[in-house]
Amino acid sequence: MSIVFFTIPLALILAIVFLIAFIIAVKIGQLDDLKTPSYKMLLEDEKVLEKEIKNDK
Amino acid sequence: MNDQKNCTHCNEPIVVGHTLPDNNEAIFCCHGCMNVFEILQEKKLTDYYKLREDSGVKEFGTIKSNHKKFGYLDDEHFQNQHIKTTDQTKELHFYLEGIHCLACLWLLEKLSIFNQNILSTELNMSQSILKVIISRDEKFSEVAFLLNKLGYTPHPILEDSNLSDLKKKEDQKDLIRIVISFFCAGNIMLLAFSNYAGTEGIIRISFEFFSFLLFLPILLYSALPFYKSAYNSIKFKNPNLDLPIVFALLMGTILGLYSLYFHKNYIYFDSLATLVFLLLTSRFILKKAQHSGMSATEISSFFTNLSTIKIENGIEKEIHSKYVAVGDILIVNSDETIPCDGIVIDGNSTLNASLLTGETKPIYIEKNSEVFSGTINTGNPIKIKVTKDSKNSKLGTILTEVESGWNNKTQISTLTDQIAKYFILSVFVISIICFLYFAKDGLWEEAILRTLSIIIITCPCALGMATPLTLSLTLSKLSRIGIIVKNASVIEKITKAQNVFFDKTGTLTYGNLKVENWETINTEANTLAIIYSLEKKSKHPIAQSLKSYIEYEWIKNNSKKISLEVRDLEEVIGSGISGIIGDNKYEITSDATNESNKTKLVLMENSIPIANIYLSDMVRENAKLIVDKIKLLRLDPFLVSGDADGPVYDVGLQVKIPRKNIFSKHDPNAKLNLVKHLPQTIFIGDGANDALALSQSLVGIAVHGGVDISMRASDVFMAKNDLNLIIRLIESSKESLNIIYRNLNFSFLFNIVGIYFAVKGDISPLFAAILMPLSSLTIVISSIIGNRKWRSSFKQ
Repeated sequence: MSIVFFTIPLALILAIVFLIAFIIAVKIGQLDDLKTPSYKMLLEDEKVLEKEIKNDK
Repeated sequence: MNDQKNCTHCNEPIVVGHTLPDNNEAIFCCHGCMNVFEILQEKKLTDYYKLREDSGVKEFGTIKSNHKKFGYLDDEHFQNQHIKTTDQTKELHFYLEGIHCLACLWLLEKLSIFNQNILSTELNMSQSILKVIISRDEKFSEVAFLLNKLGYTPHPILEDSNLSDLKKKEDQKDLIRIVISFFCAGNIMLLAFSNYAGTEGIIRISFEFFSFLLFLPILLYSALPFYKSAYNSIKFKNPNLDLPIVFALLMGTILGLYSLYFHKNYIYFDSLATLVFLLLTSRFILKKAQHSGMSATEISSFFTNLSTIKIENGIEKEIHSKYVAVGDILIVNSDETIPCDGIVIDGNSTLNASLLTGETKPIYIEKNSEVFSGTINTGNPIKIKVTKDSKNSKLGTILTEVESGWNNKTQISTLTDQIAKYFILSVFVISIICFLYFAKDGLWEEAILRTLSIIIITCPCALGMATPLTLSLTLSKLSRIGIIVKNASVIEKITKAQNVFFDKTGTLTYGNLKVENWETINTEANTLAIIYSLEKKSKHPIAQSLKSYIEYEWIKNNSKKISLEVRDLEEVIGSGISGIIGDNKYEITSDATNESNKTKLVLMENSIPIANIYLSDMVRENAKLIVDKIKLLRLDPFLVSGDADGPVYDVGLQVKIPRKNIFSKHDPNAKLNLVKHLPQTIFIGDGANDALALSQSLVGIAVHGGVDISMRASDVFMAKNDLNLIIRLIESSKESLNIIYRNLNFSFLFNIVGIYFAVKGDISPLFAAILMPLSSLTIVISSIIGNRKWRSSFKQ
């Protein structure tokens, strides 16, 4: 069972990496506006479509 | 049977319709909507409507055709103070009224199609803020003009950029606190779980030690806001919920450390960590749901954004009203708001002072008449000499008073605050009794352990968490239907109200003159066509309402627009209009002898009257229904207005407000006094004349009228022009308060059980670990389900 003394800190370190990643995301403002990007995603699709139509012609 | 037509642009039911000459399918409720449609058609951007349909949003709000000027954006003073410039670009942020869905985003990010010099636009939909970057040579007035033309009312944000950065930083810090507490709580839970499952020996001890380590970041960082608030509550001798929470946290830590050292069973790190995480999260959600930011700095820049034309050395120059000084000569064109108090030095015109006085009848002004800021010039252009600058003007003083009133508004202690006091008191009393009971037998260790257990177990989760959660669910639902609540305490205050005050002009009525009755006298002539032709070019407000009425009549009857040729057209301000059509001389005059509350117009053919037209500020269609509902909710309806006796009583009795509850001729201060004498009052109003009353009433509700002084003074703002929202607001407040009461009962039940076992000494960590989250969970579920129910009842 003494393996837990290795795996638990390892798990924690892994988790801390993700925690730090999240904190960085917050700091650089990725979470400041949650509403607009979700809409933008839909619009981007349409632009691509337009281009495809043009290319087909 | 449904012949109700909806506007092609804004989807609102049409009262008076307009159509484009080349497109009969599209019908509009106003010129504003029609213009937007035209522009979009011209630029081939009609996909906008398709996108909007896909987005599923049904309500967009009408275009307010306002003739705002934005020339001041180019004024040097202004540029230096508020616009960020680099070598090639300039940047300004606008708060836009009228953002609703995906289609807006699509349109606004395509602004460069309209103007090549707009380099980039970025819309933040959750805040309705548009960031615009343009090339250095372009003018921001052009951008604002374009936005306005598209139907969004732009308000340049003059906010200090440092301040908004600070707010953003704080939000980020909150998030980081939450995520750290989540991280730690989750990991502690894993460790604690194995211990409950029965680990033993060195593994158990090391797990306990690990959970203590993981608890430290929560204790030292995530929980900081609680310490601060608890410290303040001691300092100001006003116990709040954070006090017992902090107490439980500290006690839990001490008890945990003690147990670690002596190998006892009192380790509550997992429960406490979860508690901190849940509390932080629910508070964050509430903060996000409240539009509290709206009440402070951002709004303060809105109303005062008035552009004016100043004459300097014979040259006309557009400046911001902030920079107007006493003695300046200003030109006020028709449909413009007068920015400062002054004296007319040239020209004569009519004024609409309803914003200031509540009176709908136009006021006639000529040379040497005094004019006040906030009134609207509805007639000819006039020149005025400024006697008081915008800060000291009539409107400016109201604004200052509102501000100070807002700051001094007595905070009614909320339900949870009051309960918190009793709660803290009773927990302390119980713990002291428990302590003394065991201590008198000399069982010191037992006494301390059991007392601490009580304090930790009774930590007020429901109060701290479920209440903000319920409130934020309610707030976000309200904002979805167009009710913007600035502060969550409003919800509770509304349920305490006993009286509802309505303002007349613009609240119960439409706020402008409408044709009520059109009678022709022994004539075959097409009076509609004659009047339309005569009034076609007039800018007078009465002419506008006549025109819209006639256009709508035509659309209703599917007949064509008829415009006749008029010779010798002559308009006399304040009296009427005349002209020759065919062989007959026609004349429209207002009937001065008319004594009723309506404005009566007479159309004369060769000096013989052929039609009487009655105009009045009509009562909104659903006004009577709303008043009835208010009565059903056991609230007392009142009507108060600055207008004269006649129209006020007329409206009041029409909507069945008891005669004793109707007050006329009340100026802003009189309204304020009225509200002060009846403290349990909801005040619903729109104009600047209501602002003082709005700010001092228990709950001030500003109805749709754009972002202006009344919005600033109020607690609730209606983003849609629908009185029904008031009923919805009251009903939903009651509903959500019921949920809160139910949650409180639940939590008391849990706490009583908890205290019973704590006193008995049966509390094992396992028991605590189950009981504490279970109580929280039940309450959270109860809040969510309660709100669901309410939502489904809403749809019916």
